[in-house]
Order: sequence, then structure tokens, then C-alpha cells
Amino acid sequence: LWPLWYALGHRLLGDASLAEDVAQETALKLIAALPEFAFRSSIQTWSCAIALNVARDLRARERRAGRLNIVMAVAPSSAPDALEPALRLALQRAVAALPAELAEVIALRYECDLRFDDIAALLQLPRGTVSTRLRRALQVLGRSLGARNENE
Amino acid sequence: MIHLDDYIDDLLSPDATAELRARAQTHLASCPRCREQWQATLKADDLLRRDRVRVQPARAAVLSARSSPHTRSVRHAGLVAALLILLAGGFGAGWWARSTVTTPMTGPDEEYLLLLVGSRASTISPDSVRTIARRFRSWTDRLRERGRLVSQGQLERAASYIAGAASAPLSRSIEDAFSGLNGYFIVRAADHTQARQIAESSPYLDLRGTIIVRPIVR
Repeated sequence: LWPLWYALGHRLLGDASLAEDVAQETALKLIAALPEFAFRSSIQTWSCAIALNVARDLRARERRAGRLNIVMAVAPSSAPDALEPALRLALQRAVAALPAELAEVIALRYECDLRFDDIAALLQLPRGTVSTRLRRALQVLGRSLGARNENE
Repeated sequence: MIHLDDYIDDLLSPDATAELRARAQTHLASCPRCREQWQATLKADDLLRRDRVRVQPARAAVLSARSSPHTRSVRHAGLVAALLILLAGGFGAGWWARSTVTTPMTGPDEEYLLLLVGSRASTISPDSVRTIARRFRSWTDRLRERGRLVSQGQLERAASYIAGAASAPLSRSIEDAFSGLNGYFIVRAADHTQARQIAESSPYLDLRGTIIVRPIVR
């Protein structure tokens, strides 16, 4: 589960150190909240909900301190099909520029690998709203990155 | 003409039917506007899939423990105990990498296996668990600083029991006993007494767990 919390934090906050904080705080909150876990959802979905709340709190804190949305670098990737560093940076910046409600759906879908129904339950939204947000987010990202390619 | 906008949300769903996909393909072949929009969507989807944030595989393997069929309390206890071992190992990928690297030996020359078995973490208050988690991490840090920690690890719940053809069948109680293994430490100590003292100083005991100390044959 840790990689999911870390990935969600990294996608939403664009910073490895903050992502560590998200995973760390999520682990502690999970321990504290385990006795109340009602098994109405999978522990993956439930823990991602905790991680999302932690990320929101951290984002608010960092924003108040004027330290957010300055994505300067992305961590190197050893994946065989990894994107070019410049493209990864552009993608991370494009996600950071999204409205929070769109970025969150992106992070939950692609980093936590949650299904639409799980995301809907987690965000307490109708499933249709989730898919609409995902579509809007993808279109904004696609246009943003497409425009970047054309300008190069 | 029905444009992609009207059903693109369904199309993005992993559950999109073949019929819907075929309908979309037909429409895209004749509608440049929708085609452009769909290509932008697919491009972003592809980039996001390829840029999933990755952590070290070793860490991922340690962290992705799955619960096997157990009672709720056992699952809680196992997860809490596992998280504590994780916390003891440090939070970040770098932390974990450091914790599995052999520390230079500084004197003691015997190695001992400390097996962490069972716990009743689920019966302890969340605040106490937090406190124990911090003490557990400090304890591990001290072992590492003193050159006594060789390695540590968390064990997944899933297990296989393999017996030779002539072996007596494993009893359920043995399986139950081993299913309670939560993690291990390999430490250096001058002798068994000192290894035992190390185990006795572990906050794991505050979780009402048991530590088995066994010397490793050189």
C-alpha cells in the first residue's frame, strides 16, 4: 500500500519529500483508525482515502507557506518505457496546473489504480461525475501537452 | 449526428463494451473534431500510464502484503505489527535501502535471528500504538548506530507449507503458529545472552508479541 500512498502524494504535490510525508502520515493515521475500519470497502480504497486527505492537508499547508506548485524536477525513472525527463516534467506541471478536483481523480485512477466505482465512493460523488472529471482532466492534459509539442 | 462527447465518459470506463468501442471508431472515422479530442484524451491517458510513480521494487514487495483468510482482529494485529516493522525500518525508500545494507562490524562476531511472532496490537489504543511505533523506530536506529543490525524484514501473510513425501502431515496448529510470523531482525551480538538482552529491549514486546532468539550457524 505504501507505494500507492507515495505515488498519490507525488502526483498531487509534485515533490518526493512531500510524497514521503503523505505516505508516512497515512501509515500513522491508518494505524490509529484501524479499529474503526468497517470493511465496507477494500483496505486499498480506504487507505487511499486517508492518503488523499493527508495530501489535501499538506497542500493547504504548503500553499499557505507559498511553497506549492513549483515543480522543478521529477525523479529519474528506470522503467524501460519511461517518458523523456522533459515530457515527464511537462506532464507533472500540467497535472499541478489542473483544478484540485480534476487532479485528484487523475491521481486516484492512475496512481492508486482505483476503479470508477471506488473513486466515486471515496469522493462521495456519483459515478458519472467521476468519469466526467476524468474526461475533462484528460482533455485538458492532452491539449496542454499537445500544444507543448507543437511549440517545440 | 451523435458526437463522442455524448458517451466519451462511458468509453473511458474500463467496462466499456466492444459495441460502444466499435460505435466510437465508426464515428471517429468521419468526425475530425471528435477525432482530435479523442486523440488528446488518449495521449494524456497513455502518458499517465507510462509515468506512474514508481518506488524501489524491493520496497514495493515488502509493502504490498495481502491478508489471507483470517479473523478481523488477526488481520488488524498483523497489519499493525507489519506497519510497525515498516516504521522501524524508516519511512522512505532510501531508509529501507539503508536498513537492508549490512552495517560494518564493530566487534561482536555472532549473528542471531530475532523472529517477531504474533501480537495483540489491535487490543492496544491507537495512541499507544503511535508511541510504540516511535520507540520501535528509535530502537532500530540505536541498533543500526551501534553496528548491531545486520538486516530486517517484514513477512507477508501468504505462506506455503511443503513437506516431503515421507513427512508427517503438518498439523493446523503448526500452520497457525507460523502464520503469526510478522517479521525478523538479524543482529550481531557477543553471545546469546546479549542477543536476548537486545530482544528484551524491543518495543515489539509492548505489543504483547513474542520474540524468538536463535543463533545463526556460521
